[in-house]
Amino acid sequence: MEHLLEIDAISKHFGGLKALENVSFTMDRGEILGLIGPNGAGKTTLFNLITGRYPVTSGTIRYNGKDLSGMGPSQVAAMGIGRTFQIVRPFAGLTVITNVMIALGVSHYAGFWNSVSRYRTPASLKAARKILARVGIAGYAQQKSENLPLGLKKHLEIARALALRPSLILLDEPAGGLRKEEMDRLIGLVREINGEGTSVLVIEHNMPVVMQLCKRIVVLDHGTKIAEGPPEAIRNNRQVVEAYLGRTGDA
Amino acid sequence: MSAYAMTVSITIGIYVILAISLNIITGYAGQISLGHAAFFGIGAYASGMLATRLGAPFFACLPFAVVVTGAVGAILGIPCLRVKEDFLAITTMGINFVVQAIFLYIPFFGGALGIANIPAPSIHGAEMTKSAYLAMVLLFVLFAILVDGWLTRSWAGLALASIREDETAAEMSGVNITRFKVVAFVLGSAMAGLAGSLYAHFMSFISAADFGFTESIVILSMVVFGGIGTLRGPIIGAIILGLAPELFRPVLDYRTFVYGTMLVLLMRFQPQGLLGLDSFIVRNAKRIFTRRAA
Amino acid sequence: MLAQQIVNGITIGSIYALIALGLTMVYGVLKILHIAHAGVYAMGAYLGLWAYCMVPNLFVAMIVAMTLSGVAGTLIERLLYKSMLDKSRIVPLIASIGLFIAMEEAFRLIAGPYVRAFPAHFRQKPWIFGPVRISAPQMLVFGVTLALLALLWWVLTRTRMGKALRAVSMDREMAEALGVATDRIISLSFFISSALAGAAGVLVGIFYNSVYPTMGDIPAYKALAIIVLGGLGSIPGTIFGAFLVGISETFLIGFVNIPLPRDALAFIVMIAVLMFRPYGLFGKE
Ligand SMILES: Nc1ncnc2c1ncn2[C@@H]1O[C@H](COP(=O)(O)OP(=O)(O)OP(=O)(O)O)[C@@H](O)[C@H]1O
Ligand SMILES: [Mg+2]
Repeated sequence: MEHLLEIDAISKHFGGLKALENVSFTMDRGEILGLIGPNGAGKTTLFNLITGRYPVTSGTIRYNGKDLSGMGPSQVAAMGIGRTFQIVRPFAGLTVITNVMIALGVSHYAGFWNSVSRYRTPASLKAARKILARVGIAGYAQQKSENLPLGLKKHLEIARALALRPSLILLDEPAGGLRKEEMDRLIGLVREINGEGTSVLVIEHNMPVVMQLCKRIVVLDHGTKIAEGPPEAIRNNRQVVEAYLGRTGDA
Repeated sequence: MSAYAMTVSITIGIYVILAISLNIITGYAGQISLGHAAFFGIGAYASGMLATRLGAPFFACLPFAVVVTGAVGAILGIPCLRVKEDFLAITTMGINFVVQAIFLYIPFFGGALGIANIPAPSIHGAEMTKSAYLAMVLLFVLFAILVDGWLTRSWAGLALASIREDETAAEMSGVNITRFKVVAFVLGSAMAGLAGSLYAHFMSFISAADFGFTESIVILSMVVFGGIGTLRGPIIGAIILGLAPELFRPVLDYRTFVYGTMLVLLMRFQPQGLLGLDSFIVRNAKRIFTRRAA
Repeated sequence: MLAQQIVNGITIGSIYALIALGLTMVYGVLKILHIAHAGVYAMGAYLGLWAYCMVPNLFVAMIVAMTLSGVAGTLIERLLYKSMLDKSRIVPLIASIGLFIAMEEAFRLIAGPYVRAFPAHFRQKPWIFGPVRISAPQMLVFGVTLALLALLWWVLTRTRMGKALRAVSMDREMAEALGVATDRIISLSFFISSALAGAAGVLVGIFYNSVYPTMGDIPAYKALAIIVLGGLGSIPGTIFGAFLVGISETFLIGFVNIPLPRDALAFIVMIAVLMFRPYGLFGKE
């Protein structure tokens, strides 16, 4: 059977800067795959390529065997890839439940009659509440999302991604900026979501979190893949250790 | 009702439609437009020219104006999709200047003479009276309100709100931002075209000077004054600022000064507008009502 | 003929540059479209005229106009924009437009609606360089603009203050984190840009020998087109845009008799450029 996601010889250049150079790896259904690397390694850029925010310079990305090149972000989202952002970006002025509703509408934004129909139906409200409850923020449904603390904003972003009914979600540093208890809640949530059948590709700087979550890790440095394998092997990989230490040495 | 009061009411009704239409583009979809008067003008010219050149009846001119303005809105929406935020604001302002210049300098559009002798609508050969015209304008105001109410309750309206809040997050949530921006531009422009048609057949004479940048600012101030992004805001804004020139008639010489100062003070102390979300009035009204209920 | 058109175009362009540079600097530090900048410009013209009538010396008039315009600009920033930075961008925009309207009306109410002549006297004979004739007022515009641009360049590149200003304009939060007193720098940039606008007002008043309440209208729109064309906030882009618009206006009006008015031209150029470079000629995403 084909892979869920295939990253095939991807390069992305910004002018002279090679943010990604010939990166390849695959992801299987049901997997939680970790993506790590020092600052500026190209991790977020890879997310932006998968989600169609930027066009690739070369290479192909296949999802469920389908080539994603040329697709815009909304089409990719509609195919069932959800994401969160490194710096959270909820729809700040809207309520928490409206945030989720927007993504629930993914199947309504295509046809004319679909998009002019009412969005507040008992069915859609129920679906939205269910997703909020799933990520544990049902109590905040009517709050303006900008008023949530950071930890809950991250839960909201996950809820919004889940509203796309995704088979793959991309998490960009979900633990970043969180306190220990918040982090534990979030890890638990990611595990549960994965247990329900959604594959997860997660960027994370916090090594304990990565080691807990992932059975397999891909390491990027300066735009190239320097290692791939299970956590123990990555931890003992000389090149990886150097990439990180070299980085700390600079600072 | 005196003829004078009716004239003022008709003008305000037309402004209400304009403010509602601009609010769709700028308030709901978050795309700042400094050139809305261009579409008002395109509607007025389309309607006035069809009536005077081809002798078409009003009830054919009006839908024609709506369709033409909506189509032009779609075409001019394309350059507007390339640019964002402040670049967009100035692009729309530029579009206003260019459209106005076209009306003024191209003989086909009557040049500096504009379009004169636009007939008032007639029913069964009898010319519509002023009071009938007022009733008709109010019907169209109601229509605009219904369209607006429908829009804000639909998935499309939700898509516009997501674009206003964060385009990137909207795209990643499955909203095709290009499509829905065009929807907002077309809907807003078509509605402005409707207002233009009503204006042309009411005034019977139109010229490029009526549809300049200043007029765009007047419409935008109405939206912001009342409270952008709500339905009540543009309506109240259009009524108050539409009445202002009449109310300030005793201090005729100072009225533009007062108008400008009022905008400055409102933005300084009540930037949500008079009846915007979280504005002083709305907050207190809510407090009073919840206290009563309790 | 051709050389003469270029010289005329450069004259117009240098006036545009003076107005637009201030606008772009203000945009750089606050990200605000400061429409009332053109009100400051007209105010500068009136102040210069008033000073000149008291003390008939152009240098004095210039200094007075620039200083008072600078103070006015700083007050606008302190009293108005400062409280609006965390609001949606339409708030300062509408405030700025309202202020511009109120300023124009104030000029009309105070000084009267008519066009006033600028009673400066110049030698009548133009200077002749080969095929090019340069009148005395034109020379003045050139001289003062060049001097001011050189001064601005020196301040921005060679002084601590200027470096801080550019840092704030690049990234306000970062500059603040690095210990730059951003509040002072922002006020300073308003002072400098408003002083430049005031100077431009005086120069235009002298050059066209007329000062009137709505003289800021056309510069207001055109300066916006120019800074957008140059890439909002970019100083080289703005200078380039100003001369591009100044020269193409004189050319297209002088040679090709296009049926569109000169004042729509800047916008046509701007829209055309934005279609290929949505962030302007020198702008970055
Ligand atoms: N839109 C863009 N234009 C130009 N350069 C970019 C752009 N996006 C990213 N880059 C550059 O590409 C490189 C990789 O950036 P990226 O954000 O992917 O790193 P990252 O691995 O996510 O780092 P971090 O851990 O700090 O989030 C960086 O040098 C960055 O400056
Ligand atoms: Mg990153």
